[in-house]
Amino acid sequence: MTNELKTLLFLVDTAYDRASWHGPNLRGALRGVTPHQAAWRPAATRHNIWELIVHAAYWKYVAWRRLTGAERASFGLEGSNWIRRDGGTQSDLRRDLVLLETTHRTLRAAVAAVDPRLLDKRPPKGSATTRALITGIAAHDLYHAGQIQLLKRLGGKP
Amino acid sequence: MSVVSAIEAEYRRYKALADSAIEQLGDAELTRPGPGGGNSIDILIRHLAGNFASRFTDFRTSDGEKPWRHRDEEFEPALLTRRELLEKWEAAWRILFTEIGDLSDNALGDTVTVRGQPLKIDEALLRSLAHTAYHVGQIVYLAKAVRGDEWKCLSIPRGKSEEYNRSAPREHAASHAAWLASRTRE
Repeated sequence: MTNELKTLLFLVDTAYDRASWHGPNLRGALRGVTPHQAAWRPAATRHNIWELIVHAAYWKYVAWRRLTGAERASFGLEGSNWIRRDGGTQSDLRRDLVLLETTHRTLRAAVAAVDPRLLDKRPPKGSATTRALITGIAAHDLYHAGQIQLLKRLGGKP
Repeated sequence: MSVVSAIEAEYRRYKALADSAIEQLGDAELTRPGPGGGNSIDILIRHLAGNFASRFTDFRTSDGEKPWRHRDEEFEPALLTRRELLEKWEAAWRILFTEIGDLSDNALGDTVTVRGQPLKIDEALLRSLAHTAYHVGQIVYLAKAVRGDEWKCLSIPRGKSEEYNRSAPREHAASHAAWLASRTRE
């Protein structure tokens, strides 16, 4: 694997589940979150932690499709981008966390398999370059990790 | 697109997101403490500005944690006017963009230090980008909470995803930043 690809994987990993100096990454922010915390929202029109989980999973799926050009694939949930979540059981929450984990692993594997010579080309279904797509999806995890930390502080008691 | 320009484009995306959120807030809303005694938006702005100024001043030749930076003070209330706050914010971004503008991909394997810890330049940039995205996410969420129904959406609104997927203009970080800037001017 080239250094360029290693560096991109470093960003993907530290944004999601590899220890990083800047604070919790996405998985770190979600550790120990209860269904009650995940469903709490500061106002009726604001997203809750649970919706951020599904949203992050959805965009990892989209990034994977753009990267690989996969035709026959399904996210596994009805809807796109922001999918409503108003609460549920521990196993409901676990199911969405597993979806996040699965989409992350699938995306990561696709990133690891990228031909480094194609980093500056558009992937099969993308309009940005492969490098920009990977950088962007990793930063997206952290953007929402910061929000999850905030939501935990704002009001969602375990 | 070079590695450096891809990173720079993401920085510009997150700056535009923060700018578009800040622009929607009144002076008092900027300094309103976060719920539960959390950081206000102006604290997050000063923290990012302090971080950028420290990390990117003489980026390649001096340690990223400058002796003149007082990080703890960034998290205390400050008597800054909106103008002073935004001047600090813009000045810090200028330092960052100037340094990044001088970088080429050939330099990414060189070493810089932060608190004495050696880091390759690409690693240092990605860490900084990660830190930026993390706090800009918080700025945007806090700003949304403050503005409530008055909030001008910065991403894909509910129910508009299919429309977005057909054109996807904001998949490009630079296009997204330009789109946000055009909305700010509306």
